[in-house]
Amino acid sequence: MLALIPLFIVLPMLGAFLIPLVEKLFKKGSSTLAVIIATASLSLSIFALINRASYPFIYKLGGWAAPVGINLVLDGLSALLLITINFIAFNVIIFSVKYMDKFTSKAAFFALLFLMLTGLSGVVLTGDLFNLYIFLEIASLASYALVAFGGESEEFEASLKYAFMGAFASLTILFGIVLLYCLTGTLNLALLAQIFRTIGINSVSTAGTPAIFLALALFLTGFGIKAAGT
Amino acid sequence: MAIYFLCFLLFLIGLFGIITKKNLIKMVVSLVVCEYALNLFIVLVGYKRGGEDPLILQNMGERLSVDPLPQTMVLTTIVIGLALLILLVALCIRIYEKYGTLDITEIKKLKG
Repeated sequence: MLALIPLFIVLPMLGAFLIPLVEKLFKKGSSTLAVIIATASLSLSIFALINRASYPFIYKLGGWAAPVGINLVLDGLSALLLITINFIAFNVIIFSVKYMDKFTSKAAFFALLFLMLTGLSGVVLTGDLFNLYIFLEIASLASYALVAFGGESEEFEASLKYAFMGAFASLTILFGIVLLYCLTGTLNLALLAQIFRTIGINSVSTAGTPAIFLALALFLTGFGIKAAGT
Repeated sequence: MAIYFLCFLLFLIGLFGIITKKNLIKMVVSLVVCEYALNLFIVLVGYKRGGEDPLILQNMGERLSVDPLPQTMVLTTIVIGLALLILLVALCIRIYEKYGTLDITEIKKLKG
Protein backbone atom coordinates (compact mmCIF):
# COMPACT_ATOMS: atom_id res chain seq x y z
CA MET A 1 0.00 0.00 0.00
CA LEU A 2 2.81 2.37 0.90
CA ALA A 3 4.24 2.34 -2.62
CA LEU A 4 0.78 2.98 -4.09
CA ILE A 5 0.20 6.32 -2.30
CA PRO A 6 1.74 8.58 -5.01
CA LEU A 7 -0.61 6.93 -7.53
CA PHE A 8 -3.48 9.00 -6.10
CA ILE A 9 -1.72 12.08 -7.49
CA VAL A 10 0.07 10.51 -10.46
CA LEU A 11 -2.95 8.71 -11.93
CA PRO A 12 -5.24 11.77 -12.41
CA MET A 13 -2.31 13.84 -13.64
CA LEU A 14 -1.46 11.12 -16.17
CA GLY A 15 -5.08 11.24 -17.28
CA ALA A 16 -5.01 15.02 -17.56
CA PHE A 17 -2.06 14.97 -19.93
CA LEU A 18 -2.86 11.73 -21.76
CA ILE A 19 -6.50 12.43 -22.68
CA PRO A 20 -5.89 15.44 -25.00
CA LEU A 21 -3.06 13.49 -26.64
CA VAL A 22 -5.28 10.46 -27.27
CA GLU A 23 -8.01 12.76 -28.60
CA LYS A 24 -5.52 14.42 -30.93
CA LEU A 25 -4.11 11.13 -32.25
CA PHE A 26 -7.17 8.88 -32.53
CA LYS A 27 -10.07 11.42 -32.60
CA LYS A 28 -11.99 9.28 -30.09
CA GLY A 29 -11.49 7.15 -27.01
CA SER A 30 -11.04 10.04 -24.61
CA SER A 31 -14.24 9.16 -22.73
CA THR A 32 -13.21 5.53 -22.39
CA LEU A 33 -9.80 6.50 -21.06
CA ALA A 34 -11.37 8.94 -18.60
CA VAL A 35 -13.75 6.29 -17.26
CA ILE A 36 -10.90 3.77 -16.95
CA ILE A 37 -8.69 6.19 -15.00
CA ALA A 38 -11.54 7.29 -12.74
CA THR A 39 -12.41 3.64 -12.00
CA ALA A 40 -8.79 2.84 -11.21
CA SER A 41 -8.55 5.86 -8.89
CA LEU A 42 -11.79 4.94 -7.12
CA SER A 43 -10.76 1.30 -6.62
CA LEU A 44 -7.39 2.49 -5.32
CA SER A 45 -9.08 4.61 -2.66
CA ILE A 46 -11.36 1.68 -1.70
CA PHE A 47 -8.21 -0.43 -1.37
CA ALA A 48 -6.76 2.26 0.89
CA LEU A 49 -9.84 2.08 3.10
CA ILE A 50 -9.60 -1.72 3.30
CA ASN A 51 -6.03 -1.50 4.60
CA ARG A 52 -7.08 0.73 7.50
CA ALA A 53 -5.65 -1.61 10.14
CA SER A 54 -2.11 -0.36 9.53
CA TYR A 55 -2.67 3.42 9.41
CA PRO A 56 -0.93 5.83 9.11
CA PHE A 57 1.12 5.28 5.98
CA ILE A 58 3.86 7.87 5.56
CA TYR A 59 5.45 8.06 2.12
CA LYS A 60 8.72 9.99 1.98
CA LEU A 61 9.04 11.80 -1.34
CA GLY A 62 12.52 11.29 -2.74
CA GLY A 63 13.52 9.26 0.31
CA TRP A 64 14.11 12.31 2.53
CA ALA A 65 12.89 12.05 6.13
CA ALA A 66 10.51 14.42 7.89
CA PRO A 67 12.23 17.71 8.81
CA VAL A 68 13.96 18.04 5.43
CA GLY A 69 11.73 16.23 2.97
CA ILE A 70 8.04 16.31 2.11
CA ASN A 71 5.73 13.52 3.24
CA LEU A 72 2.54 12.11 1.84
CA VAL A 73 0.42 10.93 4.77
CA LEU A 74 -2.48 8.50 4.44
CA ASP A 75 -4.50 8.25 7.63
CA GLY A 76 -8.16 7.80 8.48
CA LEU A 77 -9.31 11.31 7.56
CA SER A 78 -7.42 11.43 4.28
CA ALA A 79 -8.71 7.97 3.30
CA LEU A 80 -12.30 9.07 3.96
CA LEU A 81 -11.86 12.31 2.02
CA LEU A 82 -10.09 10.50 -0.82
CA ILE A 83 -12.94 8.04 -1.20
CA THR A 84 -15.44 10.94 -1.20
CA ILE A 85 -13.51 12.91 -3.83
CA ASN A 86 -12.92 9.93 -6.07
CA PHE A 87 -16.53 8.72 -5.80
CA ILE A 88 -17.88 12.15 -6.78
CA ALA A 89 -15.36 12.48 -9.61
CA PHE A 90 -16.26 9.01 -10.89
CA ASN A 91 -19.97 9.90 -10.96
CA VAL A 92 -19.27 13.25 -12.63
CA ILE A 93 -17.23 11.56 -15.35
CA ILE A 94 -19.85 8.86 -15.98
CA PHE A 95 -22.49 11.59 -16.27
CA SER A 96 -20.48 13.90 -18.50
CA VAL A 97 -19.68 11.21 -21.09
CA LYS A 98 -23.12 11.82 -22.64
CA TYR A 99 -23.75 15.31 -21.31
CA MET A 100 -20.59 16.96 -22.65
CA ASP A 101 -21.43 15.92 -26.23
CA LYS A 102 -23.11 19.27 -26.83
CA PHE A 103 -19.85 21.12 -26.19
CA THR A 104 -17.05 21.11 -28.70
CA SER A 105 -14.01 19.98 -26.76
CA LYS A 106 -14.73 17.08 -24.46
CA ALA A 107 -11.05 16.21 -24.08
CA ALA A 108 -10.24 19.64 -22.66
CA PHE A 109 -13.03 19.23 -20.12
CA PHE A 110 -11.72 15.85 -18.99
CA ALA A 111 -8.17 17.19 -18.82
CA LEU A 112 -9.24 20.10 -16.58
CA LEU A 113 -11.37 17.81 -14.41
CA PHE A 114 -8.49 15.40 -13.87
CA LEU A 115 -6.16 18.30 -13.11
CA MET A 116 -8.60 19.45 -10.43
CA LEU A 117 -8.77 15.88 -9.11
CA THR A 118 -4.95 15.88 -8.90
CA GLY A 119 -4.98 19.03 -6.82
CA LEU A 120 -7.72 17.82 -4.49
CA SER A 121 -6.03 14.45 -3.87
CA GLY A 122 -2.79 16.28 -3.20
CA VAL A 123 -4.41 18.64 -0.69
CA VAL A 124 -5.84 15.67 1.19
CA LEU A 125 -2.67 13.57 1.13
CA THR A 126 0.15 16.02 1.70
CA GLY A 127 1.92 16.44 5.01
CA ASP A 128 3.53 19.78 4.23
CA LEU A 129 1.95 23.22 4.43
CA PHE A 130 3.56 24.78 1.37
CA ASN A 131 2.86 21.67 -0.68
CA LEU A 132 -0.76 22.02 0.40
CA TYR A 133 -0.75 25.56 -1.00
CA ILE A 134 0.64 24.34 -4.32
CA PHE A 135 -1.95 21.59 -4.70
CA LEU A 136 -4.69 24.03 -3.69
CA GLU A 137 -3.54 26.38 -6.44
CA ILE A 138 -3.54 23.53 -9.00
CA ALA A 139 -7.12 22.67 -8.05
CA SER A 140 -8.16 26.35 -8.04
CA LEU A 141 -6.65 27.20 -11.42
CA ALA A 142 -8.29 24.16 -13.00
CA SER A 143 -11.62 25.10 -11.45
CA TYR A 144 -11.42 28.72 -12.70
CA ALA A 145 -10.99 27.33 -16.20
CA LEU A 146 -13.81 24.82 -15.65
CA VAL A 147 -16.20 27.60 -14.62
CA ALA A 148 -15.40 29.40 -17.88
CA PHE A 149 -16.15 26.22 -19.88
CA GLY A 150 -18.87 26.79 -22.43
CA GLY A 151 -17.62 30.08 -23.75
CA GLU A 152 -20.65 32.32 -23.31
CA SER A 153 -20.48 35.78 -21.75
CA GLU A 154 -22.10 34.66 -18.47
CA GLU A 155 -19.52 31.91 -17.96
CA PHE A 156 -16.61 34.29 -18.49
CA GLU A 157 -18.07 36.81 -16.06
CA ALA A 158 -18.62 34.15 -13.40
CA SER A 159 -15.14 32.75 -13.93
CA LEU A 160 -13.51 36.17 -13.66
CA LYS A 161 -15.26 37.01 -10.40
CA TYR A 162 -14.49 33.58 -8.96
CA ALA A 163 -10.86 33.89 -10.08
CA PHE A 164 -10.41 37.26 -8.36
CA MET A 165 -11.91 36.02 -5.10
CA GLY A 166 -10.01 32.76 -5.23
CA ALA A 167 -6.69 34.43 -6.05
CA PHE A 168 -7.00 36.81 -3.12
CA ALA A 169 -7.95 33.90 -0.83
CA SER A 170 -4.85 32.01 -1.99
CA LEU A 171 -2.69 35.02 -1.17
CA THR A 172 -4.14 35.18 2.34
CA ILE A 173 -3.51 31.48 2.89
CA LEU A 174 0.09 31.87 1.69
CA PHE A 175 0.55 34.80 4.07
CA GLY A 176 -0.62 32.60 6.96
CA ILE A 177 1.69 29.76 5.90
CA VAL A 178 4.70 32.07 5.76
CA LEU A 179 3.85 33.50 9.19
CA LEU A 180 3.71 30.00 10.65
CA TYR A 181 7.05 29.16 9.03
CA CYS A 182 8.49 32.38 10.44
CA LEU A 183 7.29 31.46 13.96
CA THR A 184 8.17 27.77 14.08
CA GLY A 185 10.81 27.19 11.42
CA THR A 186 9.07 24.17 9.96
CA LEU A 187 6.42 23.49 7.36
CA ASN A 188 5.72 19.86 8.27
CA LEU A 189 2.16 19.51 9.58
CA ALA A 190 2.99 16.87 12.21
CA LEU A 191 5.96 18.87 13.51
CA LEU A 192 3.83 22.04 13.62
CA ALA A 193 1.19 20.23 15.70
CA GLN A 194 3.91 18.99 18.07
CA ILE A 195 5.41 22.48 18.47
CA PHE A 196 2.04 24.09 19.18
CA ARG A 197 1.22 21.36 21.69
CA THR A 198 4.39 22.09 23.65
CA ILE A 199 4.36 25.89 23.59
CA GLY A 200 0.57 26.24 23.70
CA ILE A 201 -1.41 28.74 21.67
CA ASN A 202 -3.02 30.53 24.61
CA SER A 203 0.00 31.09 26.84
CA VAL A 204 0.63 34.83 27.09
CA SER A 205 4.31 34.30 27.79
CA THR A 206 4.92 32.98 24.29
CA ALA A 207 6.61 35.67 22.26
CA GLY A 208 4.79 35.00 19.03
CA THR A 209 1.22 34.78 20.34
CA PRO A 210 -0.30 37.71 18.39
CA ALA A 211 1.35 36.42 15.25
CA ILE A 212 -0.22 32.99 15.82
CA PHE A 213 -3.64 34.60 16.04
CA LEU A 214 -2.91 36.67 12.92
CA ALA A 215 -1.99 33.47 11.08
CA LEU A 216 -5.19 31.85 12.36
CA ALA A 217 -7.27 34.80 11.15
CA LEU A 218 -5.57 34.73 7.76
CA PHE A 219 -6.25 30.99 7.39
CA LEU A 220 -9.88 31.53 8.40
CA THR A 221 -10.28 34.34 5.84
CA GLY A 222 -8.55 32.45 3.06
CA PHE A 223 -10.20 29.06 3.45
CA GLY A 224 -13.51 30.79 4.18
CA ILE A 225 -13.45 32.68 0.88
CA LYS A 226 -12.36 29.49 -0.90
CA ALA A 227 -15.25 27.56 0.64
CA ALA A 228 -17.73 30.35 -0.16
CA GLY A 229 -16.51 30.45 -3.76
CA THR A 230 -16.89 26.74 -4.27
CA MET B 1 10.95 46.05 11.75
CA ALA B 2 9.87 49.03 9.62
CA ILE B 3 10.60 47.08 6.46
CA TYR B 4 7.92 44.51 7.35
CA PHE B 5 5.40 47.32 7.78
CA LEU B 6 6.37 48.80 4.42
CA CYS B 7 5.92 45.37 2.87
CA PHE B 8 2.49 45.08 4.47
CA LEU B 9 1.70 48.59 3.20
CA LEU B 10 2.47 47.41 -0.33
CA PHE B 11 0.07 44.50 0.22
CA LEU B 12 -2.61 46.93 1.39
CA ILE B 13 -2.04 49.16 -1.66
CA GLY B 14 -2.73 46.14 -3.85
CA LEU B 15 -5.87 45.32 -1.84
CA PHE B 16 -7.03 48.95 -2.16
CA GLY B 17 -6.56 48.72 -5.92
CA ILE B 18 -8.58 45.49 -6.19
CA ILE B 19 -11.46 46.99 -4.22
CA THR B 20 -11.67 50.51 -5.67
CA LYS B 21 -10.56 50.31 -9.30
CA LYS B 22 -13.20 49.80 -11.98
CA ASN B 23 -11.00 48.84 -14.92
CA LEU B 24 -10.35 45.10 -15.10
CA ILE B 25 -6.73 45.53 -16.20
CA LYS B 26 -6.04 47.80 -13.23
CA MET B 27 -7.61 45.19 -10.94
CA VAL B 28 -5.35 42.51 -12.37
CA VAL B 29 -2.32 44.77 -11.88
CA SER B 30 -3.38 45.42 -8.27
CA LEU B 31 -3.67 41.68 -7.64
CA VAL B 32 -0.15 41.23 -9.00
CA VAL B 33 1.09 44.04 -6.72
CA CYS B 34 -0.49 42.20 -3.78
CA GLU B 35 1.20 38.98 -4.79
CA TYR B 36 4.62 40.57 -5.25
CA ALA B 37 4.36 42.21 -1.84
CA LEU B 38 3.86 38.73 -0.44
CA ASN B 39 6.87 37.44 -2.42
CA LEU B 40 8.93 40.24 -0.91
CA PHE B 41 7.70 39.26 2.55
CA ILE B 42 8.70 35.63 2.01
CA VAL B 43 12.20 36.64 1.00
CA LEU B 44 12.43 38.98 4.00
CA VAL B 45 11.52 36.11 6.34
CA GLY B 46 14.55 34.14 5.18
CA TYR B 47 16.97 37.07 5.12
CA LYS B 48 19.69 37.50 7.69
CA ARG B 49 21.81 40.64 7.88
CA GLY B 50 25.28 39.82 6.61
CA GLY B 51 24.24 36.33 5.52
CA GLU B 52 25.90 34.74 2.55
CA ASP B 53 24.46 32.48 -0.14
CA PRO B 54 23.37 29.09 1.25
CA LEU B 55 25.90 26.85 -0.45
CA ILE B 56 27.86 24.07 1.18
CA LEU B 57 31.45 24.34 0.02
CA GLN B 58 34.57 22.57 1.17
CA ASN B 59 36.68 24.20 3.91
CA MET B 60 34.22 27.05 4.34
CA GLY B 61 34.37 27.09 8.12
CA GLU B 62 31.77 28.90 10.23
CA ARG B 63 29.68 31.50 8.48
CA LEU B 64 26.20 32.92 8.47
CA SER B 65 23.97 32.07 5.51
CA VAL B 66 20.48 33.14 4.55
CA ASP B 67 17.61 30.65 4.79
CA PRO B 68 17.31 28.83 1.43
CA LEU B 69 13.78 27.45 1.94
CA PRO B 70 11.86 30.75 1.53
CA GLN B 71 13.82 31.43 -1.65
CA THR B 72 12.62 28.17 -3.20
CA MET B 73 9.13 28.99 -1.99
CA VAL B 74 9.31 32.36 -3.77
CA LEU B 75 10.37 30.67 -7.00
CA THR B 76 7.34 28.37 -6.82
CA THR B 77 5.02 31.24 -5.94
CA ILE B 78 6.22 33.32 -8.89
CA VAL B 79 5.51 30.45 -11.28
CA ILE B 80 2.03 29.92 -9.83
CA GLY B 81 1.41 33.67 -10.01
CA LEU B 82 2.40 33.68 -13.67
CA ALA B 83 -0.12 30.93 -14.44
CA LEU B 84 -2.81 32.88 -12.61
CA LEU B 85 -1.89 36.11 -14.43
CA ILE B 86 -2.11 34.42 -17.82
CA LEU B 87 -5.52 32.95 -16.97
CA LEU B 88 -6.85 36.32 -15.75
CA VAL B 89 -5.57 38.24 -18.78
CA ALA B 90 -7.03 35.64 -21.15
CA LEU B 91 -10.37 35.98 -19.35
CA CYS B 92 -10.15 39.78 -19.67
CA ILE B 93 -9.57 39.48 -23.44
CA ARG B 94 -12.56 37.19 -23.89
CA ILE B 95 -14.72 39.45 -21.71
CA TYR B 96 -13.73 42.44 -23.84
CA GLU B 97 -14.75 40.48 -26.93
CA LYS B 98 -18.13 39.59 -25.43
CA TYR B 99 -19.06 42.77 -23.57
CA GLY B 100 -17.11 45.44 -25.46
CA THR B 101 -15.93 47.03 -22.23
CA LEU B 102 -13.50 46.43 -19.38
CA ASP B 103 -15.50 48.40 -16.80
CA ILE B 104 -16.43 46.01 -13.99
CA THR B 105 -19.64 47.93 -13.23
CA GLU B 106 -20.82 47.35 -16.81
CA ILE B 107 -20.21 43.60 -16.63
CA LYS B 108 -23.36 42.57 -14.76
CA LYS B 109 -25.26 40.01 -16.79
CA LEU B 110 -25.26 37.66 -13.81
CA LYS B 111 -26.88 40.23 -11.53
CA GLY B 112 -30.36 39.16 -10.48
